[in-house]
Amino acid sequence: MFVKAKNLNLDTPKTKGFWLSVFSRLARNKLAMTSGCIIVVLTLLCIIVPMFSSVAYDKTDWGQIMQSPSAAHWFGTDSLGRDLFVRCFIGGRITFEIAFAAAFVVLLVGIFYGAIAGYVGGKLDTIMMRIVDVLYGIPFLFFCILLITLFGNSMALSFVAIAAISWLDMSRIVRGQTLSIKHKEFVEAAMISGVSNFKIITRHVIPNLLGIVIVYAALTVPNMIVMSAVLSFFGLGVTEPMTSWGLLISDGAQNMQAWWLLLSPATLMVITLLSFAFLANGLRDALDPR
Amino acid sequence: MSIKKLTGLLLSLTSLGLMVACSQKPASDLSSKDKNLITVDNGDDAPTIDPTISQDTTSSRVLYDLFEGLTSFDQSQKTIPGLAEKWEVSPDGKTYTFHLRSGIKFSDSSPITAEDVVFSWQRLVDPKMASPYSILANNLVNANKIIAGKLPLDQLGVKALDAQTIQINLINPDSSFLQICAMPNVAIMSKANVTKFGQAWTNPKNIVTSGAYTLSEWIIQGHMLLTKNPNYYDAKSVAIEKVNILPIVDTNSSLNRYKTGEIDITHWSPVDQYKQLKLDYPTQFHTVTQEGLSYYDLNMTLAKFKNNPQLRQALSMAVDRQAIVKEVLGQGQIPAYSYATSTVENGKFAGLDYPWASWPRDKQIATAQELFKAAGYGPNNPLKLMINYNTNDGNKKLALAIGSMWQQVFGTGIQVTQANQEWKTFLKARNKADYDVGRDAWIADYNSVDSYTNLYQCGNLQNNAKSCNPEYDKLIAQAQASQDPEQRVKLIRQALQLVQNDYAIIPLYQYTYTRLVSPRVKGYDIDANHLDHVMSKWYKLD
Amino acid sequence: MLKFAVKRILVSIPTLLAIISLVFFLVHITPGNPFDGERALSPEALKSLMAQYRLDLPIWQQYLLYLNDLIHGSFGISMKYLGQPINSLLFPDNMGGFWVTLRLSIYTMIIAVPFGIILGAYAGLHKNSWFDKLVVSSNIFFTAVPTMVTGPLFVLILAVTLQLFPAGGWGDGDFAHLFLPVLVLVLAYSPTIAFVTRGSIIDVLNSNYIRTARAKGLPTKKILFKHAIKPAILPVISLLGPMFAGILVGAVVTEQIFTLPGLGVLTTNAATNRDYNMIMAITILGSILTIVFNIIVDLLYMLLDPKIKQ
Repeated sequence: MFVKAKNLNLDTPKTKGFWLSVFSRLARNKLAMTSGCIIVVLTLLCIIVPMFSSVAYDKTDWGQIMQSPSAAHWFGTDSLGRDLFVRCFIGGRITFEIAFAAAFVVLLVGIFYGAIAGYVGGKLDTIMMRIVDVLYGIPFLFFCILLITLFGNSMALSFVAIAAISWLDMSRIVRGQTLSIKHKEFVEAAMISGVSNFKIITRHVIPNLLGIVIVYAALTVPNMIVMSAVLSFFGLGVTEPMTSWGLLISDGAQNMQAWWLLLSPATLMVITLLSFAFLANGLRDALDPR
Repeated sequence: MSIKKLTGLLLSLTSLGLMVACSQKPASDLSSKDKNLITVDNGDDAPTIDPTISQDTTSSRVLYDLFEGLTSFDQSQKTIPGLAEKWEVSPDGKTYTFHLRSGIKFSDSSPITAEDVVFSWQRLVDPKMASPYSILANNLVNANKIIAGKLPLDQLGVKALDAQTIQINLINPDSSFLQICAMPNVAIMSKANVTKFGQAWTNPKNIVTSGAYTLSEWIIQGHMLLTKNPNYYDAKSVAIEKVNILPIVDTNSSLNRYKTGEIDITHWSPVDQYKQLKLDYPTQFHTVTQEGLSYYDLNMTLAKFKNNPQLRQALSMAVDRQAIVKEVLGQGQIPAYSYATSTVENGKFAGLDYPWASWPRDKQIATAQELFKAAGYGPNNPLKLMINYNTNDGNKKLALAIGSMWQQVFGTGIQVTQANQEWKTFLKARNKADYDVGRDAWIADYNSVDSYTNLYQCGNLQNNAKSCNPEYDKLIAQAQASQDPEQRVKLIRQALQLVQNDYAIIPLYQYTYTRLVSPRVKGYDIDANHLDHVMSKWYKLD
Repeated sequence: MLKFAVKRILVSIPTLLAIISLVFFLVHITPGNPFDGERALSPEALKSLMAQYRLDLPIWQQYLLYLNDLIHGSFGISMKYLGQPINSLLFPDNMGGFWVTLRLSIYTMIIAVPFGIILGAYAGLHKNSWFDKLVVSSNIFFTAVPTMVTGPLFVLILAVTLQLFPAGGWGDGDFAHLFLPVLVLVLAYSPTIAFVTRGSIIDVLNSNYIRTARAKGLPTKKILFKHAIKPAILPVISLLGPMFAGILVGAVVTEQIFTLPGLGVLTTNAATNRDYNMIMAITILGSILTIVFNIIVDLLYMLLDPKIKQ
């Protein structure tokens, strides 16, 4: 029994003190902190700009079609004479909503599913992973068409569609990582000492997964944004005159002569995603200080 | 491996890539500037090249090259002799006798006979074939009964009098029948070939054609390669040996490949770049008025529209068609204020516009507002409307523009939303009348007002507004039975005037199509081609 | 080893069957019909067509008949390309369909894998150097800027403006026609490979046995090549399997931008046209590919890591 005590001490359980030290380590990472600030500023802009702008995001102006950036329209106008500056930020608002909501579902479902499959192993693992394989086989496009015709169009539904596809990858990655954590000394020790499975998963396995999960989540966000643009094509989720970065970018990529249509949303998206990724990297380093 | 070596390897890999890239010849040289090969974009893949069951314009484009009917057409869509060199019409206009050109052959050198003609027509009404275009034969004796499976095929009013002569019997005289004879669905196939291979007869390995070209290669979503048919009766005036037909859906990709010289003729062009293209390619970029109407359906199965003609008129009147064609679309479209275009049958149905069409905009708005109020809607009882359209840039623009026009005219009395749907979902919803306001359009198959008048008949499959005016149907039936062409025009004009005052649809504009034609292509008189029926045999290359 | 492979294949059959069944019913309850068009069909014509494609039968009968076709190696007849067998559309005698995408993905992997691994390994060995940061940022950059943007951008610059390459099409599958699509795909996939390699190298270098080796005074080069490469490459290999299968069925955007007649274009076409049989065929093909690549990955794992035994 003394072995157990020793091992548990070796690997610090994640406590309040642990999170404090994570935060202080994160605070020292300049790149991560700058990224965090950028995200906060962008989020605020996405809330404020559409609220206080003099033109509405859906105001069409036939006299101002396809204007390049000017004092009146900072980011230019689109093919319906709508102001791109407002549209970029209202689109950003929607994009943040999609990304956060979908990422939340993906993290929640993916982590638990993968952790359980990997930790319990055996038959359950096989069955759970085969289910993932089967769901993988469903063509995404058909899934979308089906969703919209069965339930009509709603934003919530588009989160469901995106999450339903994205959690599969997450669960696979989590499972793989769990398999390797399972054989680490501290987990084996906890098992021997009779700690319940649920506790081991929530207390030991999941906290140790966070590093890779956070980084991976940051990498899937762009996919989700692109996916939401694909959904829009099927009339699911964001539909005109509302917009999202994914939609703005795919529209902009259609007509590169009008460079401003692509440049502003793409730049905003790249900045945001870079910030998220650096923050995620910082967080990972802070979680796992080796 | 040391870091230096790694970096070295990376550098050399990159430079190798660059070297290979730079050593490439310019793309304009890569694409063949062969005088015997023309590359044409068709906008999408043809779903089939079986004439009987084809229904898409993409199929027609290829079929006009591969097959020919009894009659044919020239670049201004005038009917000219096809496989038949001449014909006689009986005094009552109900019997046509066609005489085949002598000595004509299919691409496999077998002779084209009257039997093949009878076979091709019978195949159109064969219930087993389920042709979507069997409607073309509706006016032939016994056709409808055969389509319904109540009579055998040989009862059709198409008979071979001898190996060279065919007689066709109609129920009613039809001034556009000779145009129908040039349609790809009744083009002449080889009976021997089709019966031999069954469904596989359209395979490039098996196909036998009667037109100026034959099919040598077909890669789905890749290309179709047509080769000149040496047995075609007019082969000596077919200038280009090979025609490469591409199925490029994305207009930007098509434009890019035109710019690099890979494509000689595009199918259409990006909507948003119209003005730029006009500036960049003043002589190569063509805008042509098309025989087709764009309109919105008001769902007449809904009580709010069905019982409220004032509301329907108000909605139609509030749409600023001038702004739509000038500012929203801006591609030379013609505003439409009537149920048939002013150009169809060379202007016989012009001048049917709504009287308010010529009013100043303020008066239109004021009247529309009055009607809207009289219809029982206003700020206290706002009308909720949803515009349904299938996902497409142009449709999106139009739906947003019309929505904002209604919003501007009726203010808080109306709440408009837009919903886009993917194509098949949209079609299903529209067929089931599961919509408020639906985007709709019709492109005429041939230069006849029938293309439009059919749309408004009770129970017609294309009547997506599900409107019905028995009075109208009666007038149209009278017109069709009439043997006097002038009487026919008069009756149809009267009918159209009657039905368009029902305001079941909102006519918006007459279509145009835009296309880039390389300067090396000669002989293609695109600006005269309002039906956009094209044959590769017209082209010549510099 | 062989026993393991056979076992895995046998285990995959129920999975595949489950996918086929699920997708079959899903596809058939999706509204819209392959024969709906702008021009509505007459009820008689529609009935006759439905009968030709067995769509008038109860769905369970359709399902059994479909399975029967599959057992006989036939994917059925296309409902968009009327009357054409799916087998010959997917696997044509000449270039097209699966062959196009196969070549595209092989070229992409041949370039992206070494490129990604070298970049990733170098970045991982020099964690936090400027080069490392460049690799990390460019990875994020290329995931943030999707193929949807890089594709048209390269076409605009390299094809339309500089006229170095054709703007699209397959040609004869020659270098010039393939350069841009492969470039776009390499840029899309190699950052992920680099990123995973980097992470895995960092993990391995931090592991106890490498530390021990270092403490014992073994030279860095020897440590790297004798002890670090193998374990570091394992996660990369497990990434490559699904990735390869992914490009094979998922290069939709790239194929569309460059108008290539590959599987991706056929997929979107089939979905929007409700070509039931085509959708089924591509789904089955994709699933088989994924399963096969997963088995290959597992076998490689066994070869490289003797600790893992089934």
